[in-house]
Amino acid sequence: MHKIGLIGNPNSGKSSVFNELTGLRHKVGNYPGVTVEISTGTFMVEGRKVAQLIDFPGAYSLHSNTSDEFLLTRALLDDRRPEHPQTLLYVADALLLEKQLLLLTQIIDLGFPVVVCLTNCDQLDPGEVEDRVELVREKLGVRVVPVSTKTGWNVGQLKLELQQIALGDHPLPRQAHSLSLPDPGIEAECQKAGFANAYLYFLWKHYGPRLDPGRIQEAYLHRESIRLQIEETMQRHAWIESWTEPLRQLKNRSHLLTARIDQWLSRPWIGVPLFVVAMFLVFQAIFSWATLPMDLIEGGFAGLQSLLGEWLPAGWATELLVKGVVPGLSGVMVFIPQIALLFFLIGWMEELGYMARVVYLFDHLLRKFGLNGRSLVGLISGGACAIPAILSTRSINNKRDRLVTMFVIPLIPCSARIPVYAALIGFVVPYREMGGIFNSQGMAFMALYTLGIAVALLTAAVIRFFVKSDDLSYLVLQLPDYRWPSLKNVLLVAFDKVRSFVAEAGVIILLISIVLWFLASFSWKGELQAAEQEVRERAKVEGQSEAWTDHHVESAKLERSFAGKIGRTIEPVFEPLGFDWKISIALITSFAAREVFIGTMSTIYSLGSSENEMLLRQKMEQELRPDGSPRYDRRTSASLILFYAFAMQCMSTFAVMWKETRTRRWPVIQFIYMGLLAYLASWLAFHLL
Amino acid sequence: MYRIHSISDPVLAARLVSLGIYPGCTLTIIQESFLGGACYLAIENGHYALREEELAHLVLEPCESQGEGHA
Repeated sequence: MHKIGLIGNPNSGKSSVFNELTGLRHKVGNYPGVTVEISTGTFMVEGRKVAQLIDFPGAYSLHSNTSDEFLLTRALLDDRRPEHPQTLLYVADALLLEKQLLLLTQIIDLGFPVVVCLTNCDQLDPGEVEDRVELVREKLGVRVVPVSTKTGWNVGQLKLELQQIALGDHPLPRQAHSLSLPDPGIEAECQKAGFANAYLYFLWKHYGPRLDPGRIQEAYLHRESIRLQIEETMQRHAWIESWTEPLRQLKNRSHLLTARIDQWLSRPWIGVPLFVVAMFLVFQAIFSWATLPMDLIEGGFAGLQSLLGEWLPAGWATELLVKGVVPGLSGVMVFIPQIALLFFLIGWMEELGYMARVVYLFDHLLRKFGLNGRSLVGLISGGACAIPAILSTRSINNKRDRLVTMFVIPLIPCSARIPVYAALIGFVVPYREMGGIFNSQGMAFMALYTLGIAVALLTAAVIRFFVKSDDLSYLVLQLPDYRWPSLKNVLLVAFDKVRSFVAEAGVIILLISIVLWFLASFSWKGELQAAEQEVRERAKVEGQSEAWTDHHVESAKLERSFAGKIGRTIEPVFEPLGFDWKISIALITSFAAREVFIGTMSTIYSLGSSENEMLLRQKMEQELRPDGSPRYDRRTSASLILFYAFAMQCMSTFAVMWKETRTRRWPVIQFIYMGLLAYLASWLAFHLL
Repeated sequence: MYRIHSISDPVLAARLVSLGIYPGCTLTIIQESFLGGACYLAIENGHYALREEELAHLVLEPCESQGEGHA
């Protein structure tokens, strides 16, 4: 299929054009060695697949200065890569045309057939649009299609052009605007080396060693490369300036408005508090507004579970469906409201141009911890749930900063820790009023939150030294003019993230959930039946009620299941932390999610899986050690709380990290790191308190 | 208001030139670095954030405001 590369500066309106052309028919491309997202979409006309559209990350120049920009350079230079396009669609903002031509002149010089799409044309008079179209057409000899993705104006024409190109009806002339390259001998060398044109060879001499060292004889040394790069770019600017003078006169309304807003917003004492308010809203959204749909989803699946349990004939297939698959699906779907809401809000702020200001305001503070202004959104939303938070780091365009952010997000206390903390905190800190509005347990909660955040930041500050980065550490950030976000685009972003989460991480979550169900419900042949038999006989002798019997059967079965056996086996490992085999079992089952701890403990204490925390707490209070002292004393409870604070007791985090880093290495390292951290903290608490 | 005279660090210069920031461009400091944070600049017709130490590599010369840009 014909491959069309979509190229443009950041903030050129490229993603809107991509969405217009592909609608929902796109996915994140999985290209070898590509860590940042490259979306590919299918361009269809009348139900027929016409071309593949590849949406490259926004770039200012082919002289790449960041690892992201290098993706584009590599794709265009190396024709053997799968993402090498045949035709390019260059998107430029009609309002900022004179500033977005540099890259265009470069790709034309590479010899690519190019169509230019001017966006934002609804902001200009028809006459002005026509002038711009003519100017670019005349100077650069390319086809120019003005559009407005906001009103949909002329999008049909753009589709028609692309269709004709893809089907080969209108082959585009291969133009070269013949810049005299700053390396005088390049023409002759190029012919000898067998490259299609001089500019292509010139760029190979810059980037060849990183692309395919075998293909070029001689590359520029670093200093020379930088000098030539500056010279070439300056020449292009001079040429562009020579004919764009008329465009510069135009007073752009959104630019003036931006200047007026940023006059105030750029001041830290205004910008920072405003961001705090904005983040508070985001946090509210994922922490409380998402609760209702989440409850509905969980309630719906719980209903489905009991219905299926009643309707279907008893047997292992029903058990698998009811206790393995349905809870797994529920565990995937329950994240959808949070992910959708978070991405809707982030997408909106990103489109508005606000996120660039956030990076500007917090760069200095977060750089100390090896993080980036955009990390803040992930860190803050990690306070609700690590899953959407880890996904949100996709907006961080520096590979290392993104990895570091993803690595520390699970250490931020999330909402799933609350039930565990709430069940145990009473054993550690007795309730006491403190100065009227505060109480001792509330303070302990806050201390736990502070500790989690502090450890996350410290971890970031340390691990950044271990994560390699090929990017030069510069800020140099363009702050785009504010523009009102397109609802359609933002909704598409949210939809896209939800879909990719369900399709990718969802599968892993489902599989782990089935494995955990298997471990908790099976054992060696006959063992579970024997356990049930024993309990029933004892119930008969003691004359116990039916509910008592059921709960004790459940407990006995869990104890003898594979999970129970593993719990007993690993008990010595957790002994130094004060945990017994019961807690060890709960540690295994609650890898599904931290809050499962409560359910498992209830089952073990024969309370049924009602998750009645009051009853559970009473049972735990009565639990004794072999020497007669209470099991849940201050030391053990504190140790357990800290274990849940730091250990990665969350299969979804594992799954999302796996999918987002595209390696098993990072989630495994993270799992081990968090596990060791948890062990250390718990050990210290158990022995020092 | 200033005019950029030259950029002393070549690698930084290469990055800035790609963004359309080069000697001859006018530059106004909208917000100076606060406690070592980034600076907010208006360069020609665009807004940019640069770190304090990056701005230090730009050799600036004062120039008369011509009533355009952001005074």
